[in-house]
Amino acid sequence: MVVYAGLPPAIPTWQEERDKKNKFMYWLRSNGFMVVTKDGAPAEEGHYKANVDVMMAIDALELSIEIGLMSLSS
Amino acid sequence: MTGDADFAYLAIKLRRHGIRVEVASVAQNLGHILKSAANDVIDLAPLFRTFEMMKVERTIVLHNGNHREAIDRAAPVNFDRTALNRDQLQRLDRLGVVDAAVIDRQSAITVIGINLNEAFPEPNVAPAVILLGLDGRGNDRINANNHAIKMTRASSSDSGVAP
Repeated sequence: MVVYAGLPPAIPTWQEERDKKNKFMYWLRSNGFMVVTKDGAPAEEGHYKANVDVMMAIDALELSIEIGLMSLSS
Repeated sequence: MTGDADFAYLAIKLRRHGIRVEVASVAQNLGHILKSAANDVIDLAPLFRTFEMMKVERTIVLHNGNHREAIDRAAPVNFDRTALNRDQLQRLDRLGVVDAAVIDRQSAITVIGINLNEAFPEPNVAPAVILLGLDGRGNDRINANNHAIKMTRASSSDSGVAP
């Protein structure tokens, strides 16, 4: 099971949110999930951008050689 | 041909497979992560400056004498190849940009010039990328339906259990 997650930007403004999410990522890894993260970029006020769609598409293409069925949920 | 930093992951993956990655983009749209992930960057700004803005002319055409129709006619793009240096010309040709065709007749609504011999100067790049993705185990899994089901049916029929 692979989890893709966009993290808040690694800047002081977002550090608290980032720490919270990192705790969740740690829990996922500790419970057998493979976690792929991407650092976000600050967007407009109070938001950040962290798209993992391209990462998922490329990894899916690679995994398609190995597996016959892939299930996506969000 | 993009500056979207999301494609940095793809660039890194391709480079790990030994594929050279060049990013063609305008500097202000190029993400620094993608820039650092690529082998080289082609700045498209000088190329864009060689183009003239397309002039769109609206003309009224009469059909059967009474039906009036407005047609937007795009003027052909003109640029002076002699004004470019050798490197710029090479990159221009690599991007498949060719002179617009000139058709000597009336009512050419839009003129698009594509020289197929020049438009794809490196046709082996895309197949190489596709083969790289598919040539892992000799099984491309294009038809990925029910391989597992077939195996289950075969094994269950061997053991005499109904599927």
